[in-house]
Amino acid sequence: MLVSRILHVGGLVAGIVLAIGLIVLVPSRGTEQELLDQLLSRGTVTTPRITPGSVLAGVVRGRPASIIMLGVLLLILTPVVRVAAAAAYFAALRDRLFALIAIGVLGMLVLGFLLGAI
Amino acid sequence: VDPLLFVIAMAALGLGAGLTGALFGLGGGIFLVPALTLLFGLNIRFAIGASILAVIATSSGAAAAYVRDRLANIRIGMVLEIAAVLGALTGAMIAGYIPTRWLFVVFGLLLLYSILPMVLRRGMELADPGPPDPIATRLRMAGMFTDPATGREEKYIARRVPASAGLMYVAGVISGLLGIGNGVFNVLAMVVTMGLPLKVATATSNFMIGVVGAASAGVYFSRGEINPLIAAPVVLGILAGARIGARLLARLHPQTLRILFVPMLAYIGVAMLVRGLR
Repeated sequence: MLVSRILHVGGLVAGIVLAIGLIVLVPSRGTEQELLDQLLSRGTVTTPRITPGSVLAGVVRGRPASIIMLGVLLLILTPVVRVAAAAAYFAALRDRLFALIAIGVLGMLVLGFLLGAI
Repeated sequence: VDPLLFVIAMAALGLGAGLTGALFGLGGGIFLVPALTLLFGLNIRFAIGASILAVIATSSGAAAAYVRDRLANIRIGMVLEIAAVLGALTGAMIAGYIPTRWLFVVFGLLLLYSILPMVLRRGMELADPGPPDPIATRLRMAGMFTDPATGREEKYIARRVPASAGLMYVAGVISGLLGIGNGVFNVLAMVVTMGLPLKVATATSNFMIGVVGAASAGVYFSRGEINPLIAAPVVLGILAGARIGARLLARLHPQTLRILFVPMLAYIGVAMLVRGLR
């Protein structure tokens, strides 16, 4: 079944990218001091907004933290793609109501990325 | 702090959380945030961000198997997801605005509250589910389930759909606010309120958790509250831990473990409360 395969493959690819990012991150000491300070901070912190575009730009420049964020993005996208596959499945069955429900859920998932950027 | 040492510690912590979670039949998110904040003193916002990713990762692995087994009901899951995802967005947005000490308090209260059904388990007998909900009939929120133990076929249809959707919204808010999967709550709602068979409820809940997690993870991601330094080791650690835990579980007696569970949750719950109120 397609849905099952998406979940499996998506999780696997995300895991591999995370592992690659981690392997290149560890020897590049110094660059992550800022990230470490962020983690150990107390109370309210202001964090820079992140977009998929800024992550990809970082990957192109070979920034290890960006490679990890790409893995994170793939991990988050796995269930999103699953919902898209469900929408296509219901559409193929000519089940309009459920195709619309799935598209509605999909829209809310995209909304999440936009809401965080406010 | 040496970054290499830090990353190794985070991976070990993820491994421990995944292992403990699997042994108790949970995703492990409920142990992750307390461990990251109480043991390592990390900022709870980033602990929650890492935890919600771990929830997606563990649910993707488990859901793949369940869907293959056709136990999860996609129609029921999809209808409930509307409410749960809306809740997750609400919870994740609230989390961005409330002071961190409140997050500790809410987390502590949730842990203490989650002990209740375990202590009062005997009182959880299934009430008469009543007639099928007209919404369930109209949306064909029904299915057939073959019990692998007895080989008997059992038909089921969802009951009390609006009430269940309301509970799923609440479950979504908690998940988005605290970065946990909230599977126990989901399953309880689907069994008690919807009258679904336990195995169908468990599989459907697992199927939903990843999607609900993705909704709030999107918010945390954009807000910059996912820190790569903990995200990668924790996610990889928890995946490995969950796998080992599932294997161990086959050899251990679950009853002996359950004795440990309630005092452990109570202890962590009180510790989180104290941290928030101090």
